[in-house]
Amino acid sequence: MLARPSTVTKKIKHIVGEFRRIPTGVVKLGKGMMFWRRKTPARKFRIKKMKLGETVIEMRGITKRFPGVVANDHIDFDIKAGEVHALLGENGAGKTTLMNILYGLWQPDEGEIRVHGKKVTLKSPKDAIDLGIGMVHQHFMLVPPLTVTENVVLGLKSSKEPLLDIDRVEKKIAELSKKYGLKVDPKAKIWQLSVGEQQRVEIIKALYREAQVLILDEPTSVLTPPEVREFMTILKRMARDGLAIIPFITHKLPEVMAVSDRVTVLRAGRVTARLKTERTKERDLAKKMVGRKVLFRVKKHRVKKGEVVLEVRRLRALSDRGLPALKDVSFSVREGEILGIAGVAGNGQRELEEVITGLRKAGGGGVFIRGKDVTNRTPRELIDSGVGHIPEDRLERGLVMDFSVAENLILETHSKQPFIHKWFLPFEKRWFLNHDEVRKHAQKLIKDYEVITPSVDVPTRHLSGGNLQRLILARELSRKPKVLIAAQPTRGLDVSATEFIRKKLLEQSREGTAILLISEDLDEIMMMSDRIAVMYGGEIVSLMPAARAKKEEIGLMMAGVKKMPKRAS
Amino acid sequence: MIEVIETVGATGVRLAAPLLLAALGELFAERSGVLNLGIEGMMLMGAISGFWATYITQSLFLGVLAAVMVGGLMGLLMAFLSVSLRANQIVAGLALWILGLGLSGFIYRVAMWGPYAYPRVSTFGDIAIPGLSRIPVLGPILFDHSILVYLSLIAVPICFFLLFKTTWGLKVTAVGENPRAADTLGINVLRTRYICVIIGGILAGVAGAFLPLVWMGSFNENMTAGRGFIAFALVIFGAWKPWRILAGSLLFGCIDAAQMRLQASGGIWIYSYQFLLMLPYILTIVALVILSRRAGAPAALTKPYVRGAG
Amino acid sequence: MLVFEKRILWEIAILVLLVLGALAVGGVIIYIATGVGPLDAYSWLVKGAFGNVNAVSETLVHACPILFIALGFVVAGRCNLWNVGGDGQLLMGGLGAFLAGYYLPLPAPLLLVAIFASAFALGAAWGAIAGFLKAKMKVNEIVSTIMLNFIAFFIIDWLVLNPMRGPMGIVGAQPMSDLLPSSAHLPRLISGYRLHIGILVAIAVAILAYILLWRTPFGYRVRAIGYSPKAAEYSGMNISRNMMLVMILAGGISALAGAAEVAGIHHALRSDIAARGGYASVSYMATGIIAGMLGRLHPLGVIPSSIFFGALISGGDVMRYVGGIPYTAVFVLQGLVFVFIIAGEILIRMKVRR
Repeated sequence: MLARPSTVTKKIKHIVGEFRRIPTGVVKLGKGMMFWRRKTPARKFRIKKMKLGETVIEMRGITKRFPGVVANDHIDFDIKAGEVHALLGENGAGKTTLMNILYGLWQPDEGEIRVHGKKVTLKSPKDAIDLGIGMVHQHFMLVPPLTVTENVVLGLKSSKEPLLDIDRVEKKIAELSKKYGLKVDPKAKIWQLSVGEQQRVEIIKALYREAQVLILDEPTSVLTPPEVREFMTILKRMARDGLAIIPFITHKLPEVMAVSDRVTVLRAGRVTARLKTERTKERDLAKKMVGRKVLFRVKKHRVKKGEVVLEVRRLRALSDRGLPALKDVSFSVREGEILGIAGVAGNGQRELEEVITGLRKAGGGGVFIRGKDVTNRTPRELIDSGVGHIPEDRLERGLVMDFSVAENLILETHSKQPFIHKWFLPFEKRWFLNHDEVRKHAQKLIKDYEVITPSVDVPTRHLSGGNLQRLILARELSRKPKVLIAAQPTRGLDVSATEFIRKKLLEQSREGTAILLISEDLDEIMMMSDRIAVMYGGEIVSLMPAARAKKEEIGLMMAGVKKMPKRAS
Repeated sequence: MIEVIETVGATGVRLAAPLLLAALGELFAERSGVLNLGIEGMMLMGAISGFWATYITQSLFLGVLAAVMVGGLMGLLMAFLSVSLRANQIVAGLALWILGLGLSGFIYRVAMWGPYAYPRVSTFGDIAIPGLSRIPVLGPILFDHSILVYLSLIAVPICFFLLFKTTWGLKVTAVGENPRAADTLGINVLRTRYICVIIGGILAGVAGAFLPLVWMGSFNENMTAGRGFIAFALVIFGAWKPWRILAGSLLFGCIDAAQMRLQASGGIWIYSYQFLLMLPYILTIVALVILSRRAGAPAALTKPYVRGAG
Repeated sequence: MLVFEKRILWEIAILVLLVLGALAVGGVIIYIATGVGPLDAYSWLVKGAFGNVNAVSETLVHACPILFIALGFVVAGRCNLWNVGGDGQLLMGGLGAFLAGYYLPLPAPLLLVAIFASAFALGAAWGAIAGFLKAKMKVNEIVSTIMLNFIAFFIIDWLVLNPMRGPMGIVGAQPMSDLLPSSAHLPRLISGYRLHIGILVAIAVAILAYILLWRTPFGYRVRAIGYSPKAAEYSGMNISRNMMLVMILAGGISALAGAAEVAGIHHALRSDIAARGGYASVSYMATGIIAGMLGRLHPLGVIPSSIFFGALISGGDVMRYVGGIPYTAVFVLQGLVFVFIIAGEILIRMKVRR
């Protein structure tokens, strides 16, 4: 537990060493202290400009494991000069992991990377950048108050060290800009730019550092349709120049078809297909993406149509970045019905969840519970109106991790009977928590919901993911809500927890609760919903009874391909 | 009338100088993402080291040097606590405040032969810049001061230059706004923060040395009387920009000077001078109310950086 | 043994180690500075703190305002609000106590209640200012409470020099008000010594604070907001209203320290009641905050830690008389303890191996 003498001397050596050389690289010393240490000098090895069609990078047998899951399972992947090679797959399929490995953010557990046939190890992004690999992340790595030029040149040595030589950089940016059609104003500050423009800055950043390989992570997820078209033109130009080879990560089929030369499909950490784009069709890709992975089946009963409990009318809302995230979303859910919202994350689901539960402002439209207008009301009022919420963000939103299990189970109801003693003293009235009732309540719930915990007084922090979710479920369901918003309820959970939660949700719907099920797991949606809506780009692109839904079609719609006419609810 | 303006202005600048220095130091620390509430303690440590060193060596220069070193050490301690140990920055700052408060008083008592001696040192004399100091109004206000005051004024453009015109300054801004992004570009987040916090400590130390070495010629326990926190507020008031911090500190300094003048002029103020003394503190609160939208605050302020998190 | 109890033992063990570490470093500093060996110095300290009845009385006399301020810090701290306004709240509380004790013609027992209630009220109002600024205007509560400290000091200073100036004028270099009537004096616990009932009130308040935080819905909300404002928002709690209430409460509790000092020790209002005997600089507030941290922000935990710091102070007096060690050594020790605790936070947070 305490540091052994050898580790202590090592630490002291680190501390002393850091003050001497120019250090890079971070080292965690034991109990989470952080210092930096010397690194071996950077290699001069770089990717050279190549003839179109030659293989530049080869990744073989890449395997990466995280606790509980194999993110990449012996993946082979290669990129050729002048090629746009798309990496396709749902969230969690392993695309980002693979590319993070290529960019040096993570190290593979097994497998190797070869550049020009020579084996390389990438220990940090700096190694990748030095090698000539550039990455444009899904969440931009930009500094908002700085200008475009400043962002591009950040971390690089200037010709007039230590002064910044903005003019020279601006000229170079203008050149690159013209060459590839990346229109951007070098003097503009990042926060002033549109998302599309910010993305161009990120690309210029990579090109400025003379990247020969460009990794683009979900590049079009934040672009408007016209911007997407522009973007694809730029991609083609860069590819034609032979310089940039672009692994292009997405779940959006139309784009993959439009711009890539080859496509590799990942599912659950494995490669399920590697094809030349011109030789394949969207349907096939969708099938490979979505697959036949069915964990288990639950029997879905027939629902008798009750009254409308939750109604959402022409809902509009902005995302954190200020872009429209919900565009005229309308649907309704009846008593006892489960409406499943299918879609890949990032298409407005989170904003939908937050608006309905009072955690985000709606910019237009309305939310109604049994006819009562609850748009933009406080979470308290919504809870009192009968809304239950299983949040996507379990750890931050759904639970107070430092509270005990028992305390978490009364999060919304702590000031109501039976958890309160009411004592009337002669001159003032004080309400005390009735700990016996609280514990009784907790004991019952952990039994009913099979939560594994040493006791109800343990801090919730110590529970595993599946148990945490059971807790939240227990709490929300025990309040007998009129409508339940369940967002990604089984994400990341093991089989038994998943099964249990789905069973409980079905039970609840049988008892009359209207359930809005938001999930990326298409199997789950298909298994559990009475009706299915598909969300893409902030809109409901289709709404149909589950019986009529076909998995591939839904997959296509989730990937933005088809837009079916909405059926009346 | 002109004379009044001149005296008040000159005093104002002299009073503003330590606030300015300390605030500029804090600016570096905060721009790199570290909230340092220990300025007050660092100032006090700077004050006592400067005072003691001067007393012993009779050299004001060595006094300032001592303040620089001690301030830097305090800064190093703060950096260690908040960057490497990732302690809660607010609490770490308070701890350094209290430690500095106690330690400075202790050193004073110990070094100065008991509680009844009142040692004094000669202070920095004023250096009038020939020619410029004879300009009416502006002359005496700006150009007839001790060297430390000039230093603080010059520090403003230097600070501006460092933070906004060099590659290093760019790195600092990046580290304070989006350390993740900075890290992906190969910038050493930890080292940058260490350096900035140490700079903050050094400047706070020198600012503290002001009080005994420029103003008073002696030392009192807790002689900073909250000035470190006013400097802290000045950074917010100045929206994290050096020139605005200069404006803010001059404003505070002049109000302080005006208040002294009012006291000296007698009248009702002899009996109610406390209300004048309150002014800087009330002003700080008002300034924070007006400007407490976090506009301009480095986005990663108070958040320790851990690579790979999230 | 449950994980929970093991955790508490572990924390206490580490805290004791850290305190000892700080004392060790402090001992070295004292030795370098004054030539007095640490063992000698600390033996005087312990004798001065607990050696005889007077010592114990003095220890508890000092522990009392420290405890009140620590509690004010802790109650706010549980909501993640840093209440650094103990000084100002103490002063306002002293004002309230004095006004009640001087002007209210009530019989002794009722008068005592009125004194505490009045002190609480003024301190609560003072805390409310900071609470309002934070909840509605997002003003950093640390800066606002610290500024309010100074403002309070000047208010009291002016009052005591002008409208409330006592007939004795300036006593011991500090102006003070008229004396309180003896019915307004807090009764002594042991006759002949300075120890008054304030300490009992403080302990009672500590227990009440514990009950409030863990046994009432309000306290539940306070802790939830302190741990996870996002989850608190999700579950319907009104964050700004609860923050305001917490600051009001914390201000009031710290203010009771003022009542203890004014009605129990000085029996008059002076502008230096926040300090200790002549050292107008370092105040009970600094000590109170450290005591709060040492007590792990727990109302019951701060009781022993306040007594510890009270012991440091009364022991420090003896260190000074007997050993010639400057009084400020105590402040250095305090500061060291604080730094050690913070640095040791990582150790405390380490997982307990089974």
